Amino acid sequence: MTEALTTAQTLSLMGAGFVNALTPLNLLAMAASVTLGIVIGCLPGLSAAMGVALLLPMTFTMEPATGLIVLGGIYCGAIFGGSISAILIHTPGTPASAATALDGYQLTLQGKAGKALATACVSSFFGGLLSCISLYFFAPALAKLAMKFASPENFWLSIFGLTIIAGVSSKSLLKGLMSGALGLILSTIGMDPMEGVKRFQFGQVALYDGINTTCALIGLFSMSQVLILAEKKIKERGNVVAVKDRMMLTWAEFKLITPTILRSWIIGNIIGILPGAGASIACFMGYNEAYRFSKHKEDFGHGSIEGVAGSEAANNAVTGGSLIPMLTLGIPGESVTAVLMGGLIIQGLQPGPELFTRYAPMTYTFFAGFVLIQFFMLAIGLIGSKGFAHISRLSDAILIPCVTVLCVVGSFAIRKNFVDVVLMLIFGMLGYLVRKFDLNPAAIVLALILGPIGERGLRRSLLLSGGNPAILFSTPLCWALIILSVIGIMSPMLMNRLEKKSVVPESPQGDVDNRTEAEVSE
Amino acid sequence: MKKSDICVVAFMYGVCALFFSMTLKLKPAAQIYPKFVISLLAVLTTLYVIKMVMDAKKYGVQNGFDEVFAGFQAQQFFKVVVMILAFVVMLKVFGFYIAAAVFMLITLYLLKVPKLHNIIATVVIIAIVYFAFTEFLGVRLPKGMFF
Repeated sequence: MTEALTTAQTLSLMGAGFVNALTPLNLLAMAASVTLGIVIGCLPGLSAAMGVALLLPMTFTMEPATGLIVLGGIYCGAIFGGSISAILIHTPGTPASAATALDGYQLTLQGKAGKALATACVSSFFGGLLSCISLYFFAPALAKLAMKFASPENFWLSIFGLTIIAGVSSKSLLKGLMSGALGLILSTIGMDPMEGVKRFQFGQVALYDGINTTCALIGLFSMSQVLILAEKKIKERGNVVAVKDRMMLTWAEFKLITPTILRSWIIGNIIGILPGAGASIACFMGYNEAYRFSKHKEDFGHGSIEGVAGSEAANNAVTGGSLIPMLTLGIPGESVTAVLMGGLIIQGLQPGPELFTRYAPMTYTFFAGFVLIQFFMLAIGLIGSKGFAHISRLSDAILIPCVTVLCVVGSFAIRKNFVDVVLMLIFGMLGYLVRKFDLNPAAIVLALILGPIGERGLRRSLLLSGGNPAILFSTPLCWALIILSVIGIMSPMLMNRLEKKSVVPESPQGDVDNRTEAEVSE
Repeated sequence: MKKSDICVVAFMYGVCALFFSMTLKLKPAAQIYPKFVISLLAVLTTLYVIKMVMDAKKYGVQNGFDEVFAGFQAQQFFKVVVMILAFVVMLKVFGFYIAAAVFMLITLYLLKVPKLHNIIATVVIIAIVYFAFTEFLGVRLPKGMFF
């Protein structure tokens, strides 16, 4: 099954995906991962990328589809979980819920915490569910295009991936590109793929296959977060306000937020598909559009359920969209999808067209699982939000050693190798310094993943052309990717415009007690 | 220009120098790609130096370190770092479970977590690791020299 699939085959794979996803083990995996994701998301010290990185090794021994479902569940759960602490303690659990805090906390102060949580839950559910539509329909089409890629295109594809993530997710474009180049150098550690000679192994046999990507991910995203938490004064979190009203929306309220959810779905989906933009931008854009179209503008900043719905539907709509470039082209647009890509690689799978031909049954099982995850998120969110709110008060002092232990276990578990633990610590320290000095950890990780693909693409191309670099400019697809790379470098200006456009009405409570600078930059 | 950026630039040039010196020991065909990526980093770093110089002329030189390390709790940070390093060393000597329990109890004590919370957190995290990794995933965690 190497050719592109027909419509009938695709439909049959979609159906089979649901059958495979509905096994008891997969359902249990969905419930557990969504719960874990919500816990991680509602803890203001932790982020979605960090949670996925930390739990990546747990998926190592699972079936690939189950492993991906677990990671998808953590991702969706964490994005929704951030809204719980945003609404109840005025502290967004993740940057993706920063806009939710503006009106969510106002509703809490008015004794409508249940209403705010129900709105966040329902909007997140519909945002996530609708985003699956684009996942089902755009991903195979893009994968078909990716089938035309040969060595020169693969080289430019890796360059495009790096320029987009380095450009968009960094405060300084040059620093982002430097981070990518540093990652490219680190990706050369290990055996030379063409000449078969050892490179830069520092006498360590464990580095024969290069740097273990999962260890690097755990170090850069999770261990570095421990060090970030350790350097700050341990603060007591705000008290959780008791949820006295029912966690339910009336039919009239549901009708009121429906147009907002639909608008935010489109916004979040497009933002998700665009490599480089993420849920933190989408939530403000969704909120902003909800404000622009609302007939009750005066409620915004004073407790508007439309505001909560706009932000939450948009940030969860990002999830499905952001998987498209990652699964089809191997270009993760942000930190979480870069880590999710690590989850694919750990299973021995390479993102790209093969996921939609050779491994199509596994991919469609994951897609079906992703749809079902949204239902689990709705149920667990509605039932458990009051309980999760208490977890969100957990002190950073307790999180610091707990996360450290999980980092050590996770990095050891992959190859049962002590060197991997040391490697994780080195990347943890590197990640800490990288974040302190405004470099970009996501670009380093992406370069570690894309580096070998780009290297093989470049060297094979030159081998085929007898060393003539003109082969790199020989097809229209190469030129399209070169143009996209240039746009990738220019994209920070576009993103700045998008962020500036998302002007948010002032909250009477003042600024939201937001995340640390490093967390936001992540 | 920020003085703190000098550290970034020095680090990047240091990486370039280290990898370049190692590249020269490889056979010629294997040198091409590493030289390409090293040059890439060197060029980007040099561009950043030029930007720093231009910024210095325009806006003057700022410290930058006070911004990078604002609110830095040195004592607390280094206590945690020392405990993490001790934990990794203890892993080899005492095995995972003992090392993790000692690490958790002492670190939580140093971070002034109340005794009861300290014990509960230690028991919970060790139970999670045992059931998730040892029982569910079948991962054999380090046993140490004595056990």
